[in-house]
Amino acid sequence: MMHGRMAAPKQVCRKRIAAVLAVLLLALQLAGCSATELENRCFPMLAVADYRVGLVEFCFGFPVLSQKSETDVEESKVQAAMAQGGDFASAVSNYDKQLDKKADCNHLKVLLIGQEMMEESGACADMFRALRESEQFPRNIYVCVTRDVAELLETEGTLPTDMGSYLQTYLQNHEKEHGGKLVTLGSILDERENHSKVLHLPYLTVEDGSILWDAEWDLDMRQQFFE
Amino acid sequence: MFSCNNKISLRQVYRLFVFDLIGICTLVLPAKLAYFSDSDGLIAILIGGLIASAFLWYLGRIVAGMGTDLISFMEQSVPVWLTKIILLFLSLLAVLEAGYGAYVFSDVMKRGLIPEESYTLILILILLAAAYAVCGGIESRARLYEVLFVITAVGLALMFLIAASDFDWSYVGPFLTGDPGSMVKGGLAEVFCFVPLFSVVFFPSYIQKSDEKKLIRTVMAALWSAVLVLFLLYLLLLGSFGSGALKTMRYPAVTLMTNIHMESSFLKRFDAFMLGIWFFTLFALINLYLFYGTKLLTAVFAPGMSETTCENVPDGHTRKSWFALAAITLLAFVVAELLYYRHGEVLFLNYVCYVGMPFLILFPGLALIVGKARRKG
Repeated sequence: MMHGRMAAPKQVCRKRIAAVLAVLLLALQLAGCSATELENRCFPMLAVADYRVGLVEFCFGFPVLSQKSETDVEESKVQAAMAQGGDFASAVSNYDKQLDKKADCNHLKVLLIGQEMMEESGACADMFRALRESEQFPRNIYVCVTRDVAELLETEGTLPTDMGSYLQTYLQNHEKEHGGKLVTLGSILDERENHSKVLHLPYLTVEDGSILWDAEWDLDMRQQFFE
Repeated sequence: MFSCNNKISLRQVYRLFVFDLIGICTLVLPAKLAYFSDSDGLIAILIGGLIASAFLWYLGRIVAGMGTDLISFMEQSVPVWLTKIILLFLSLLAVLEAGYGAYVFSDVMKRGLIPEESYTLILILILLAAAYAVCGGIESRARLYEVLFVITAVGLALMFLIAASDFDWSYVGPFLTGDPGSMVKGGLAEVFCFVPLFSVVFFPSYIQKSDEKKLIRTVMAALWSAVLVLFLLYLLLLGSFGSGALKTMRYPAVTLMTNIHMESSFLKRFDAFMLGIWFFTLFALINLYLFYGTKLLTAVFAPGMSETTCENVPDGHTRKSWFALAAITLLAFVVAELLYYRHGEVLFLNYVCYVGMPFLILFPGLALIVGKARRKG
């Protein structure tokens, strides 16, 4: 394609090496200008959404990293109370403002939704619409419903791992007992467009300090039922 | 490693065309097929394959009639002013297609891998890499994709196998419920993604004389390989998402990868891993249009210049080639920026439908008729 004057092979080779090195050096200077470094990120395992007193509530659940490695707990701790907002997007935004690190949702495992949120059709529809548009959460996270979010989160202290990891394993281990496939966020978002299936979400309760899956939540009827 | 004669084998031709064809069509087309045809998109894919085959057969007749590649024929047989106008218009088409390919590539990489990075920075680096790859000539391109072909094929097969575990037959169908026009629309959308087929008219100068008779058959095999990949992918997407959800997605094949839930902690970002398939195929597409855009623009300003990779040739023509490559790359950058920041995708697609494709269909036939008439005269 390109013509060139006759040049000694060594000189041509040196020029090419120099050109490649120059491009690589330039690329190194340009790369990573706006990326958030690892130490400035936090990695939530659980997302929690609820609806109280006309407001949407949202928070993340984080692992205590000393459970996984020798990392200092204080260094890894992410302190943020549940945030509120008029809709799901503003609740998430208000929560993010409280964090001193950027939340990287790529490792999210479970989305836990309070029963009041599921019963409030407008807020629920808005939440799923926001999740579809923002693509903030991975599509393959499990979705489950609980009667009382605060009661469920209180059991975290007794768990061997963080709530998100625990719920993921718990749901997978009990999937066959409930005769169905676990519902992911992607399935819910797709079904809201296809309108061809009835989805049942795991309905979790707390009994004697332990998490129990003994009912299902019908997404269309917006109510729980026992199998 | 290279013969340094600017010729490639038919196996390399096949692999080049497969790469050029499957990039955009697997990424962008499924959502449009679902929008036009729902489950009948599967039939639309076959209709599109037939229309594209007819287009390729027509181009084969043109190549046979010319007896050489398009540029050489036009330089020998068509008035100079007409040749320059047509080649300039073809260069413009190549710039637009390269810009669109670069826009899709940068957008996919930004959304899927590095959402915090600047789109413009990603675009610049991709275009610089593609422009550098053009310098190696056709042999360099062919050798690269000959090697990557197996890696990409294995990656695609792996993706299909893993995604098939979430397949739901209840999402597939019903068939033949829409009007036939919607299926034809879907088929035409597919043909517009197969514009790289037009590059077959340049290939007589890149293959041995003994291979010329098998050229169209080879490209036809590449076309139907791409149609098969698209068919399987669309079936998988239908079964995973349903047509209702599929038509709302921007890049459903990438979304398919994010849907996969692996029970172990192995490969949490499987989608990032599989993005490598589109990295290579879209890079091939941008490379294709930069390559031919440069070749066409060089032919406008330096007609009759021969092309080689490592032969010793006189100076003077080299600078024009470099300027042509720089100009084409810069224009492609501008097009990609406009597509992203000015949301020019609809305008681009309308241009391809109503100007680009009709031109590519009509002008080779006209050029052949005019050229032959002049030769007889």
